[in-house]
Amino acid sequence: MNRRIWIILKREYLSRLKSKGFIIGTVLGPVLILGMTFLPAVLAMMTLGEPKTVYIYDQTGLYGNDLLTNPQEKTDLTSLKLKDVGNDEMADQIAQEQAGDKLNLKIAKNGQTPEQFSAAMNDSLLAKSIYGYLLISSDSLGKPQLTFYSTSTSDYLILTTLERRVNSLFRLKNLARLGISPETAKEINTTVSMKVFKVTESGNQEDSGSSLMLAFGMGFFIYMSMFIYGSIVMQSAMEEKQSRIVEVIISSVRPFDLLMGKILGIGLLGLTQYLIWGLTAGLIGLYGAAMISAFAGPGAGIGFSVPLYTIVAFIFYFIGGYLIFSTFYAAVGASVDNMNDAQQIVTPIAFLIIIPILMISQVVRDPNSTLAVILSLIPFFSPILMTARIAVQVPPWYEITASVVLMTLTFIGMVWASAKIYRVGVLMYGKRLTFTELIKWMKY
Amino acid sequence: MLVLTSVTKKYGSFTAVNDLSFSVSRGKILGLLGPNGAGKTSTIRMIANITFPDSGSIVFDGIPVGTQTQEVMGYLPEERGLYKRMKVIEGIQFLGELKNMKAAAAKKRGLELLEEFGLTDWANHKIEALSKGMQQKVQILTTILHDPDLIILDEPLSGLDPINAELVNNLIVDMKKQNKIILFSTHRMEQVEKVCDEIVLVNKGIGVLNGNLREIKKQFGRDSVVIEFDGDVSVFDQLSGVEIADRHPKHVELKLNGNAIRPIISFLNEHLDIQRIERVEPSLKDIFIQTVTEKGFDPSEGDLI
Repeated sequence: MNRRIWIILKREYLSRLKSKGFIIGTVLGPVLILGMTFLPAVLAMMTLGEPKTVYIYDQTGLYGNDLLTNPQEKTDLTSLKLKDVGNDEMADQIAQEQAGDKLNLKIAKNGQTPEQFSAAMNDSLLAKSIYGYLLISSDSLGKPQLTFYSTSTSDYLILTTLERRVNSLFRLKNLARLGISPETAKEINTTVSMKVFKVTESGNQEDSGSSLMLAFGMGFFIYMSMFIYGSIVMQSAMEEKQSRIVEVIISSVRPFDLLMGKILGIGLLGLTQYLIWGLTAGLIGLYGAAMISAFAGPGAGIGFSVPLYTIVAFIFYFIGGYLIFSTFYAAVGASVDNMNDAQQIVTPIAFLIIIPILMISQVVRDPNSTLAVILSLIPFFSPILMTARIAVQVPPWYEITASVVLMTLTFIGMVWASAKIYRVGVLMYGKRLTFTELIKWMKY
Repeated sequence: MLVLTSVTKKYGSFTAVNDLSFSVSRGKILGLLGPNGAGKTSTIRMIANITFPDSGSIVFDGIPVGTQTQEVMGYLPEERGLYKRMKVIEGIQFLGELKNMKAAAAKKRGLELLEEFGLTDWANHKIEALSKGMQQKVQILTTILHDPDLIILDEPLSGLDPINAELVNNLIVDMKKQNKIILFSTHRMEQVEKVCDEIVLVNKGIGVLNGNLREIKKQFGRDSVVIEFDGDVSVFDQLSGVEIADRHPKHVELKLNGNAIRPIISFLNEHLDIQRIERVEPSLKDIFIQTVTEKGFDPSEGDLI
């Protein structure tokens, strides 16, 4: 690397490393991602803050009272707990719902006819003093019939909760009625799960669920990075042009040197950021594993390991993707005067990043189909799709080689074209940019 | 020595510089003059190796311009700019390093120059914290940081207050003494009259006049007088055969057009209280207008000041 590229790279890297933006981004990045993952769950819990009153009118007289009691406790009618009969999951769910106190269930006063009850309830509903009311009747076969009335019927959590509780009681009563012992019931309720093994040439067999997650995770990571770091490169080029310092710089170095120094400097910054995150996550992981083996004994751990070749491939395609797209972003940044013009030029390129992320589930499902092979060989798509393919099933060596060669050629072509555009673009002010204009510049 | 030979630059169908040739030797200040859009900046950018001529050659000290000549060249573009968020001294050091200086040497020289320019206290402030005038000084400082042999200044005085303008003028004369080549480009012709040794006048990309400033002025004769006076300026309207080149309430420049000066002075002396009379050379502006008119251009098209 020549000295000039190195000086540009150094400035680009160090001045950003020391900036508040980088420090804040490095700290807040993971917080934001975790936030986005858990926020919906937190929000859903928060909306259930105030309990909603629901009146129950039980024509059958079989369920009403039991609905109010904790399903963990034995009830008079069944002498059974859900857990006794192997319905652990449902029991847990109901216990949780009751603990959350989302529902304030009340039994209708005795001696009312259904019509009287309904009329009184409708009044309360419209006065908003209750959330809804539930009528329990039974059909000719003794199967309970549930009818729920409310002014707002969109809270599916409440609806499913009510349904589930009556269902669980119905099941317990049926078991009791048919005289089935808890042991038998438990046997009936036994569920089995399927373990999936992947056969590879090295003979290893491993759980395939994790490699699928890995494929999506890595693909999405590359996708995000190309957008984020691409736009940082674009901003940087644009700033230099707007502050007019660029003319001084290209009177000292070739535009190509400036372009390369900038891309490599910001790329290195990105790698630094990921290294910080990676090490932090690694340390937390090690600590977590240590805690697990301390409490659960040795051998217990997270059965999740990433093969080395996947990591190598990920790093290669990650860097390759960044290089290909950032050269383009740099050229655009150097050619435009304002953000609006930049957006217009960048949008078609953004599609080249978005398309593979839309195709990734197709490709992962059938990684050796013609479609997957062709898509993953397109140099603009390779970073995401080839990484995903390698994660689920290693493609033949010649396909990997082909994608590496194609990406390298594309990168060289992009650098060549971008440097040309860069040279003309940085000195061009007050001109609205179009693609045809950009292509014309390459000939100057 | 900087030599341009038949340099032509086209942007699409527009010819920015057309077959331009001139040369300037060490220890000289060359004024590159012409109205806005005449091709001055296009010419300078080719000398700075930012753009390349379509034909013709540019050679500095026997070397065609390129990476090598860039290192011994200092360029102050018309549009000034620095990294706003960098500290003053860091920004200076970076630009010095780009010119092949060692980091430590660039910093040392930068601090020296900051002191010379009275900006020592600002060395560790961010550039954006400086006033516009101070930023200009920093930029001029970076132009000469690496002790270049060729200094290109594009409109160096624009936006400078009189004190800073004087500072730049002194700097230019200083550089000349150090046997460097200074290329001073401007559309304000009066700015270069005092300092330039040689001039190149360009109009619409074509070099219309080129040579030693003294000789050119001699060539165009000493045909004007400046008269300062107390009295009614309308007296001058009664003169015939002469041309009023410049007219103010107490200051008039007359172009004699070959008329004898004595009768004019006696006439004026009768009506006005004359304070000063001086034979003057034609201004560069007049020379420019005369030249381009002779060559068939319409001088009113350029925005000459």
